Amino acid sequence: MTDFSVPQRMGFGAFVIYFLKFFRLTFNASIIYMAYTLFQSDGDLTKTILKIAAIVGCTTIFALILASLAIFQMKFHVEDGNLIYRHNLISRATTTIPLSRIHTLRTRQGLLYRLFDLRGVLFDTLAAKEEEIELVLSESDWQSLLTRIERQELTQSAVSNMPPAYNPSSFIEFSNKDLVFDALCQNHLKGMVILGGFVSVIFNTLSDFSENSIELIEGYIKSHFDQFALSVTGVALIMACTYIVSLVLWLGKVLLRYYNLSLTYNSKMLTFSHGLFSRLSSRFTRDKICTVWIKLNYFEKRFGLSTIALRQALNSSAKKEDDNLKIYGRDHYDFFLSWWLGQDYGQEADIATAKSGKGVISRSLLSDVLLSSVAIAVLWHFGLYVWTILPATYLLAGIPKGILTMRHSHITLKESYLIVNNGCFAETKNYLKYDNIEVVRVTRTPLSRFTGRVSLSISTTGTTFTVRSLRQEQAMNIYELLLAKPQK
Amino acid sequence: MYEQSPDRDQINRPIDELHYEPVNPRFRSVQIVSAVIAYSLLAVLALLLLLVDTYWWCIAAEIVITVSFIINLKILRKAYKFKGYALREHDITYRGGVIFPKITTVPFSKIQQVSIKQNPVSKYFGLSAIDIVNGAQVLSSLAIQGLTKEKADAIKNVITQRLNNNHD
Repeated sequence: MTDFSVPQRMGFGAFVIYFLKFFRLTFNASIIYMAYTLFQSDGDLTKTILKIAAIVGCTTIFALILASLAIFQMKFHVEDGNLIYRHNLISRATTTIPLSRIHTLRTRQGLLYRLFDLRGVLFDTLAAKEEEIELVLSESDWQSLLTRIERQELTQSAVSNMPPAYNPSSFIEFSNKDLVFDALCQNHLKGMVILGGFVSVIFNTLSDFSENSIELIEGYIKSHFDQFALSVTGVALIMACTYIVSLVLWLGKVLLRYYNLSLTYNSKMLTFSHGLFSRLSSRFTRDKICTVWIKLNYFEKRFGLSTIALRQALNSSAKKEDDNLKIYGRDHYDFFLSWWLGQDYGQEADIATAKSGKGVISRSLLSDVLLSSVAIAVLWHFGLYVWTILPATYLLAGIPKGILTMRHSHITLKESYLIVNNGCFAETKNYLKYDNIEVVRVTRTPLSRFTGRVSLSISTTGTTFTVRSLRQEQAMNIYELLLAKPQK
Repeated sequence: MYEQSPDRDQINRPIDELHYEPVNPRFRSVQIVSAVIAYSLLAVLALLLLLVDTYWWCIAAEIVITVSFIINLKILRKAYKFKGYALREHDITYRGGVIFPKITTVPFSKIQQVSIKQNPVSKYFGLSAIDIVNGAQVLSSLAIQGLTKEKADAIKNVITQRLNNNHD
């Protein structure tokens, strides 16, 4: 049985697997050329067969070279509780993965693998960005490696693997009336933009029609809607129709997805079940949730509603489907926060807090200024002087948007969690636990030396937040606290 | 063997007062050679403009590439001076960037894997880069370039030891 203590290459069986994989790849790539040779043949069958044989020969040699390189460049071993592998031929890399960090072992055993009694092994850690390297091992080597990893895990989790306490499940059913009510409170302008895009695609397609068809449509519109053409009422009517259509589509989408939303929960897990025709279910484990996202726009605040989303930790092989679930309706955020942060979460005092400065307004306006300037220049160039009022209005609307963004943007540190507030027209609160913080970054801009303001970025396993234009001393104090908290 | 463990004085220092270990001076040569290779390729590609249009476009493109190259060299010099890393008791911090200087800290307990990399240019100058991968969705990797093989190995050893000790 191999003990993996010295660097080793994969065996002959792995070489055959790699060769067949590369051969399939190169053969597929050369098929078109072979077909071309076959059809271009001048009737001399021997010559054509020889040509095709030469192509297959070249493909085989190329696949052999690639397989040899793949096997040659890859060495792996286990040392001091770490899996170490050397890979890449030109840019040499040696990657070290502590065995304790491997949380999933994926194996594949297709027909070819079974023929040679081999197993393809892939290692997953919590890393979002990792190179997927497959080790092709014999069955005995695989068992030996698995034993080593299991031994490592056993020594670490002997204490933590106590059986979980009995946890009876509870059930909550969310109101469909609140769902519709909150769906109506959302920003539907985005839907209008999408619908506008869809209409413009149709318009582009129409413009590809023959001249006669266009004239026919034009004549029909003129005869029926002449009174509206280019009039303010006409434009307003089109806008209103688009809005109603987008609203109906939006409500349909929400009802299809979230109709009869129900929640079964215990202290460790939330299981949502929802959907009008096909019932979907989404599961959230308490320790995998990295952020609780709560959005409150003006109407939601007024009518006691809220939109809640639970963001989960993801790794490179995880799917993001569950993360798209949003809970529309009455403000249930207190329930979710109590479940996740503990009953006393609201009693905790602020440890540190920092608010964004005016830099947020200028940053928010920057993209609007660029976009509006380009639009005004284009409209002016084509002589559509009256229409320049649209980008100018958009730019003016950017000012209150920037002010609101600045007002909403702040960070508050509590004893066991932190809140990152952001959003422009709607206020968004993001609740995070210190344990979930993976990286902290502070970024200065060329203006920082004059303004004394910096940006603070916090990244978790599922979300990233940047709080801009914070006072440098406050940002650095929070930076230190964010790093020190999980150690306590 | 070279030992890279957190300096006693550094352990409890705030980020602002940390002494950042500079990257190896040979890294400047690596950056210059890499820039020369990249801009030479661009300059050769710009010659293709001769095939599609008048030679003025080609001259203009070559001028833009040359000016960009000179500006890039100036920036690289400044960037090199700012680059640095520091190890503390529970985390590793990297400082980099020129126009938007950044300080990034990754707690040891969040590191998932460590890679030591060498491309042909850095290999020629005897330098390596250490790539520290964590579980974050966006800032998922911290790459410290311009380290000697010994230093990169030593940092890797500190990190892996911390990770394995944390679990014992």
